[in-house]
This record gives sequence, structure tokens and C-alpha cells, in this order.
Amino acid sequence: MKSVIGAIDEMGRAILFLGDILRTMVYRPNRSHEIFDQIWKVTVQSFATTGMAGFFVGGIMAVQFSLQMNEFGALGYLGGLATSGTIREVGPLLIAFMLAGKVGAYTSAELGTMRVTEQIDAIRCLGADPMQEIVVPRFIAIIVSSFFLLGLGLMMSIGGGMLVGSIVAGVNFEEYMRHVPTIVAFPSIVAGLIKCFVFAVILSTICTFKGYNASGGAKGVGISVVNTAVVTMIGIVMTDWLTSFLQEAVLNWFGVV
Amino acid sequence: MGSALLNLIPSLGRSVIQTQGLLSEISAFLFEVFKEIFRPPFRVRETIKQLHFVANESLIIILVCVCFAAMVTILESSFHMKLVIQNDSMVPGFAAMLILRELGAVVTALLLTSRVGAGFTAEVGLMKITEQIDALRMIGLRPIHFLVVPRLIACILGAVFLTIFANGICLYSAMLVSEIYLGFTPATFLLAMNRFVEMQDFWFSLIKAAVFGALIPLVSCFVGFRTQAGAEGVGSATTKSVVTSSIGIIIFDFVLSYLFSFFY
Amino acid sequence: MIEFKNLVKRFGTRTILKGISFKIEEGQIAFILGTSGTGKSVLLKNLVGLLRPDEGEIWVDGREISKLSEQEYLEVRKICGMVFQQPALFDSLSVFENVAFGLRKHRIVEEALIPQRVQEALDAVHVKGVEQKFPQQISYGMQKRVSLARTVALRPKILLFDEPTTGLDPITTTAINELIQELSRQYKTTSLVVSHDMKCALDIADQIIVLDQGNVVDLGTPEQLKKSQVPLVKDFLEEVLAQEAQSALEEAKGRRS
Repeated sequence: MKSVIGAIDEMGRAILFLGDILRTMVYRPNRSHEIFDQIWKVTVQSFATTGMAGFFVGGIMAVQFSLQMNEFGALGYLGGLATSGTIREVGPLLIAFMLAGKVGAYTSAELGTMRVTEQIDAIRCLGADPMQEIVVPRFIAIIVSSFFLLGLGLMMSIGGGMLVGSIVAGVNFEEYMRHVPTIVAFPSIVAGLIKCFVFAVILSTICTFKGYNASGGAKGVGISVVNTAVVTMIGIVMTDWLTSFLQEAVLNWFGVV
Repeated sequence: MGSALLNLIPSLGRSVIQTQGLLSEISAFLFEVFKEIFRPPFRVRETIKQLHFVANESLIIILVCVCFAAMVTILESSFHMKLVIQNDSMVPGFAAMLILRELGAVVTALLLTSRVGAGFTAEVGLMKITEQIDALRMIGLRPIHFLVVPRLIACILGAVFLTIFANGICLYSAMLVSEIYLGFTPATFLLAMNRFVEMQDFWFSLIKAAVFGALIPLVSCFVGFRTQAGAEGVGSATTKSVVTSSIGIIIFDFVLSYLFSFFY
Repeated sequence: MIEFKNLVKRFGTRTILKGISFKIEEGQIAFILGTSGTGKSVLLKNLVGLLRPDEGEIWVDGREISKLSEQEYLEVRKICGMVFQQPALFDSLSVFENVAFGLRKHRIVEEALIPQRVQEALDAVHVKGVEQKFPQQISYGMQKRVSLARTVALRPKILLFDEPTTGLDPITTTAINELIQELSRQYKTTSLVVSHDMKCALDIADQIIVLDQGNVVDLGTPEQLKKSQVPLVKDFLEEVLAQEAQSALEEAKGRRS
């Protein structure tokens, strides 16, 4: 019971932290080059891993789907379904996980190290606002990069799916892409983008919050990194369900589906 | 332009040499671990302690995540099926198959990576930079036997158990969601499952779980042993291990899925 | 110049500072001594606003500062420079950028004059030729000096030192102590040094304040303190006197042989 209360307490503090970040963004905006710097760093860091992951996940989806569709003779839809699934679900989830593992952990470690070596205190003593200097640029950078990486992951997974589709099920590239426009409709794309945004906000809030409030030396940094990854994943999974559910409800309401 | 090209070759050569160095270190590590598994003393108590760490702490989180994952799977499957064939009667079967073949093992493994993998790396890494590993050697204990083997066994067992459990809960919640949301009775769900799912799926899921369960501690401990000193050392080692494990899981998942597809 | 009136600070249920009161005159070098964990660092952090007292008052330069907002505290931090226990240099900035950081953020001088001030500060701490290097590339002792330079560049009226020589070898310890004295004289600052080095205090302090379990157990000039009857102080002194006797003995032996 205590740990549940503790968890809710943490969540509350994290939300307050997010409020601080947003306030700082509005009242003390950064110079853009700091932000662009961070965006570049985050994107480059995760570029290779996201690309690889996207490729293989696309492949996995192709393998699994093609087995089923073969039975029903619906192989023509392989490309469309795989792509649609990727944009709506797998893509944002994958990006979020990759980011959580690499960038989330890295940011949490970086901020945590700065905290335990008293650099954050030093920033305050030297007349600057640590939120403005180091938290906000990273926060924005993670969210912006997530979209770039989503695009990359999507492309790579289409590539992987195509390749595997042709090897495993003999679906050539043209066939693969043919039904993509049919199945991937505008609401799906919007849904995917919204998910990506929400996941990115959750990730960046959690990792900056945990890092900024780390304590206890090198061990404390390690602990905050582990916590970041876990909490982020849980948060993402839950939000994933929530957004899917809300989407369905909204679309149902409008009679679209 | 010319000088950039000229520089390309030496730097390419350098990265090849570095990679080769890394690869040989990795294979030496794997060989050591394999040797040490069969050498007594068999530290059963330590292994059980690690198992407790792997399974106990992660259980609830995995259950929660897996439930949500099941719900999302059902929602998405029904969305797409209705779109393509205007009929969602096959959703339960399809979802059940997806759960057993992919979801259960992979989600469990990814969650274990961030919790257990990062934890192992942080532990071993901290021991490295506080010179405890050297101290172990001085006492005459072999670090790999002492630290890695129990974690390896524990993680493999833990991953398998957790996956079985996760699969069960996932299927159960998928069944519930199908009932509440799609109006399928549990009986219909089980029938559909029967049609789509075969015995091999169950075994394949376990094999995947075992492979992932072995991958995580191997990567985590390897990275942990090579942690650099300083406050950042542990943090960056943890990051590296989580990322490498995650990619590794995805790649192995792909390879195994591909291999298993030949058995249907 | 600086006065603490009945300062109380709690962390949860633990009371770390139980009513601290003392005064430091302008231009003095004051040492705060005590065993580890008695709240010496907490005291300093209360002074610069990194922590806020639960009860009591803090007077700096005729102004009560314990209830100021973070924004208002910037004024205090301009005149009150803190040197942390760890160098706390910013890893992503060069030595030059580190030293210039406070100057820029506090907007003390215009950009054109910054190189001169940085050079001055580095000269004052006897560090040469590392302006373009990064903190990871210089030795720990040098990092400590640069951290000192970073604070001194602001030419603050008050200098605070949190355990400046803890964990350093004897040679560097003496060097840092001499530096503290030199800087105090050169910049005519009031210096407050938190330490557990009694010998150093006896050597260079104008006033020594001894803390134990969150209370002031004794204070006075080194001469006054040598005659102290307080048990803790006597223990401290015994230690120092024993060491002095030991080294005197060894010197005498050396001279004879």
C-alpha cells in the first residue's frame, strides 16, 4: 500500500516538474541554437539503433502476418496491414522504447551526474536557472527528435517488411505497396503522430525528472537510470492503451469506423 | 574531397580492427561463461536469490503491461480486420496467435531488459569501479563464475516462467476484452484460439523466452565488466547495456520467427 | 557582515541545525569546524539559498535574506560566491567557458571584458595554459583551482568554501589553504570556510566556530580556542598538537642525523 502511495506521490511531483518546465519555456525562452544542438545530439544518438530496430521489426511483422494471410489468400494486403499497424501502434511504441532505452537513460544519467557532482547547485550560484540551461533544451529535443525518428523507423520497417515479404511469401515490392494507401487512412496517421507526441512527452518528463532529482553518488545515478527506463515503459504501455481506447471511442462516436 | 576519401580508408580499417578486437573479447567472454556453467561449486542459493530479483520484482509490472498490451492488440486487430474484411470474427484467434508467438516473450523480455538488465549492469559496473571485482580475484574467486553464472541461470529460468505467466494473463485479459468490447463469449474465444493456435506456438514462445533470458544477463554483465570509472561510468554502461539488449532481442526475435516459420 | 540568528533546519523528522547563532565581521576569515555530518554544509547552503531555513534569520551586509525568492536571491549570489566541495565544473564547457559562466549569467561585465577577467581569475589561482582544455583533461587539483577561479572571477564580497581540502594530499592542501588566505587579502573578501581541518583553522583563521550535533559549542579566535574547556574542542586540539609534536620530533631527528 505504501508503495502505491509513494508511486502516486512521485507521479504528482513529476507532473509538477512538467509544469515547471512548461513555465520556464514560456517565461524564459532559450536561445534556439541550444535547442538545435540538443536535437541534433538526440537524433544522431538514436539514429542507427532506431533504423536497425525498425528494419527488423518490419521483418518480424511481415513474417507473422504473412503466415496467417497465406491461409486466407490475402497476401496482397500484407504491405498495407503491416504499414498501417506500424504507423498506428508499433512505430510510436518502438520509437518510444528505443528512445527510453538510449536517450532516456542517457539524459537521466547525465542530469543525475550533474546533480551529484553539484554542477546544478553551481549553476544556481552563478546566476543561471538550471531548468532553462539544461532541462528545457533536452526536453524539447527529445520530443522533436521523436518525430524524425518515427519517420526513419517507419521507412526502415517498410523496407524490412518488403524484403522479408518477398523472401518468405514471394510478395514483390509493388504488390507490397499497392494496398498501403487503401488501408493507411488519414486518421491512422494522425493517431500515430499523437501517440508519438504523448509518448515523447512522458519519456522526457520522466527522464529529466528522475535525473534532476538523483541523489547518492554514482550508485544514485545508476538507480535513477534504472528507474527511468522502467517507469517510462510502464507509462508508455498504459498511455498506449489509453490513447488507443480514446481514439476508438472518438472515431466510433463520429461514426467513422 | 580527395583527403576525405583518403581518410576514409584508414578510419574504416581502424573500425574493422576495433570491431575485431571487440568480437574476440565477446567470444572469449562467452566461452568463459559456458565453461564456468559446468564447474562446481554450483551456487544454488545465489542463483535462487537472483531468481527472486528477476522474477519477484518484475512480476507485477509485467502483468500490468501485458494486460494493456493484450487490450491494445485486440483493439488494433479488430480495427484492421473490420477495415479489410469487414468482419472481426477472427480477431480472437488472430490475437491469441500473436500473443503467444510474439507479444508474451518479447514484451516480457523488453521489460526485463530495462529492469533486470540495467540492474545487473549497474551492480557489476559499480563493483568494477569500486575495485570489488579485483578484490574477488585476490581472494581467489573467479568473477565470471561468481557473478555471471548465477545471474545467467536465474534470468533464463525467470524469463521462461515470467513468459508463461505473461502469456496466460495476456490471453485471459484478451479474452475479457473480447467479451466486453467485441461481444465474444469466452467459449468463442477459446474455440477460435484452438483453430489458430498450435502446440508449436507454445514451445516456440518458451524457446524465445529462454534465448532472450540468456541474452540479457550476458550483455549486461559483459558491459558491466567494462565500465569506465567516474559517476558517468555507471550511467553510460547501463544505457549501453539496455540498448544493446533491446536491439539484440529484436534481432533474435526476427531470426527465431523466421526459423520457426518453416515449422508450420 | 554575516550574522546567523537562531538558525533551525530540519529534514523530515531530523533536526540538523538546532539554533545556530554567530556573527562574522567584514574582512575576516572564519572557519566552521565540526565532525562529518553535523550540518556544516547545510549551514553554507542556507546562506546562498540552495536550502531555506525553517526558523531563524540570516543577515548579510545589513539585509535579512532568508525569506527572499529565488529571483531575489540572485542579488545575494552576486556578492556571495560559493566554492563547492567537488570542483563541479561543467563537463561540456572548456575551462575558459567555465570561468566565464558566472560573469555572463550575472551580467557583471560586458562581453568584451570577459577574457581579461577570466585571465585575472586564473592567474590568481596560479593556473596557466589550460583555458581551452576541458575539465576531464586536467588533474583534480587543477579542477579545484579552476572551480575557485570561477567563483573568484565574480569578485564577490563574501567567499564560501565547502570543505576545500577534504580528500586532497598534504601538499595540495597547503597550497589551497595558502590560496584562500591570498585571495582573501587580495580581494578583501570575508571568507567562511567549512572544514574539519583544525590545524589549518588554527593557522589562518581570524575566528573559529565549532559545531557539534547541530549546535555551536564554542567560538573564538585561535588563541581563545586553544584555551577552550569544551570536550570536543579539546579532543580536536589534542589531535593537532599531537601531530605537531610528532612532526617537530621528526624534524629534530632529521637535523641531528
